[in-house]
Amino acid sequence: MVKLTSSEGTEFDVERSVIERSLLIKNLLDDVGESDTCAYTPIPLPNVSGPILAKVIEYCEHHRNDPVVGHGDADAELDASGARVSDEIDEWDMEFCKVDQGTLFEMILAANYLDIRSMLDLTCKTVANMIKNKTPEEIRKTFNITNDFSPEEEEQVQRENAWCEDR
Amino acid sequence: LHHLPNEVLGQILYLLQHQRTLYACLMVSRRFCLLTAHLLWMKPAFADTSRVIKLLCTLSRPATETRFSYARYIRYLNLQQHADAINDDMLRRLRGCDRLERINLAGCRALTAATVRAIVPNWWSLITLDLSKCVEAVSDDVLRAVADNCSNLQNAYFGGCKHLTDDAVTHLATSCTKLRRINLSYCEKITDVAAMMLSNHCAHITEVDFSYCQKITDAAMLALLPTHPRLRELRLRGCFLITDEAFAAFPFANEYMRVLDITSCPLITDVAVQTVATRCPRLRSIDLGKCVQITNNAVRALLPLGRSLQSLHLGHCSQITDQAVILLAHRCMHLRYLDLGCCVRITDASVEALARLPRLRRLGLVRCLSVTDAGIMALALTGGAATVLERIHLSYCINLTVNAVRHLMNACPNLAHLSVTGVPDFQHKEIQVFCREPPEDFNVNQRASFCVFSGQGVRDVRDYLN
Repeated sequence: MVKLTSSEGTEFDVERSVIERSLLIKNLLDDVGESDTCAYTPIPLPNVSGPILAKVIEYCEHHRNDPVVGHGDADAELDASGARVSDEIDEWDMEFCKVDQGTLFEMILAANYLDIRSMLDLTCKTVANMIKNKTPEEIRKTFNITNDFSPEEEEQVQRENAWCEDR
Repeated sequence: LHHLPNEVLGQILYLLQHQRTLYACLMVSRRFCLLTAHLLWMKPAFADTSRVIKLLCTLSRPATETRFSYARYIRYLNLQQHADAINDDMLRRLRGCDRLERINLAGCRALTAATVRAIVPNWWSLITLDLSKCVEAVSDDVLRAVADNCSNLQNAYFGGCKHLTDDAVTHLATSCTKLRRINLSYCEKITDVAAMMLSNHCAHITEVDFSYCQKITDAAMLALLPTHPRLRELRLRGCFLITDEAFAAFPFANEYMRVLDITSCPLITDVAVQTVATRCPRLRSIDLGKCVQITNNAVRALLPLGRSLQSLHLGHCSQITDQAVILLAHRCMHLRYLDLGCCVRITDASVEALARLPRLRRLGLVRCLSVTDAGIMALALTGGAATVLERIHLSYCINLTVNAVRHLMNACPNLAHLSVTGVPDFQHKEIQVFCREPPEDFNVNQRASFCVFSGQGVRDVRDYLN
């Protein structure tokens, strides 16, 4: 077992094989070695809050038997024609990502920080699906983004990219 | 979203594949714009030619005046669909694309060698270069420039560039040693020398097309085949000097070989097919059209390929009989395409056997004079092939009636092409109104008998006949 401490100081016990889906923690544990004393020293995760850490552990538990995808395999995501992998998401993963936007972004940050490639992919895909087929104004509204272009800038970008403009 | 670092937001945007969505992201805000522009320009696609011109307009502005160095973002560019509009002036505007990895200029016939020669050094990142049919754009000088500048080139398509000589190909082979795919079809000056240089220097070659390089002989194959056990596709259409000897050079177990095209190699006999079939157990497609010496023994030799075999051309192999086709239909259940055009001995018995094939997409029976309504009805009523059939060629099957073909059309929900040129029962004005326009170079008689339905025409003629 491994002990993790969230930003608020809450402690979580989790099986080593489960949490090793996080490359950050795996590398940390590998560096420390097998000695028992270290295993009971909690690992502080000041960037991850309790509720988010709980989600991370839930994810790793569910996917404990999946093959680990490393960063080196990024190229493998391109198929023969160079197209990016499909954005199909399985049912459990979809349910797992049904959270409010703030939580979803915190999950992305946690997956990024803890270096859990498949969880980062999943959460990024979820956001990408929220962007898909929207107009610029709809995207701004969805994510509460301000249009900070000056009218001149906006006109310039539009002109330079007119070749792919919607008619 | 504000709290996500650029690398993460970039990763999210990277997942958006559609140009439309990327364009929307570009216009959201400054930050989105910055993170999206290179994705949008990485692989531009164009709904019509006017958009190609708009993109080139942006590229022709001085980089200091534009918001981004757009030219450097372009990695893949396919202009084949707009080939007729592309000229030298337009090509020059791509000179800043120094990270271009794949460019397809197939059929851009207006391009000249001087312009291509001048721009190639800027495209030193090229992995794929397609200049097929750009006859005047590909000279030996151009190929030397490619050889001298594009050392990462893996895929080179120069089909129809008939000015190329062995000398330039030699230069290419010695410099671009990563070459995997090379198409020199219709490069009439090419000889065994070029083929040997490619086989000596390019160890990774997997696809070769020497179709209609009529100076190619067995010697080229004796050099290439033994040293390239990973060869996947070999096309030697119309290389009429090629004999059975060429294939004796195949390694004994060639697990990679998938496609062999030896159409119009008249010296080829059953012996070559027997050699190929035993040494290439995973062969998927073999074209033997107009190999006039081919007999039933060749087809029997292919039977052990079983379900690997998906495509077989036997057009003009007039010695083929029902006996071989029936065996084929039993053993090679995954056939998707079979051409038996001008196999005049074929009868309804063959068509009845083929009707059971569950994956048959295309069937060519042009000038199979003994095929009658009975065969067509078997095809319509058996199930199997009818459920998947997409294209059927029945031209000059003079005994067929409209009624039988109507049954066939009703039985084939996916049928998108039907040719019945020269079938007397179809020579009626009311039916021919649904037919496609005959090719422009057809004479009066040819136009009169032309009868081909495709796409909506198939559905229209079916509805009319029903």
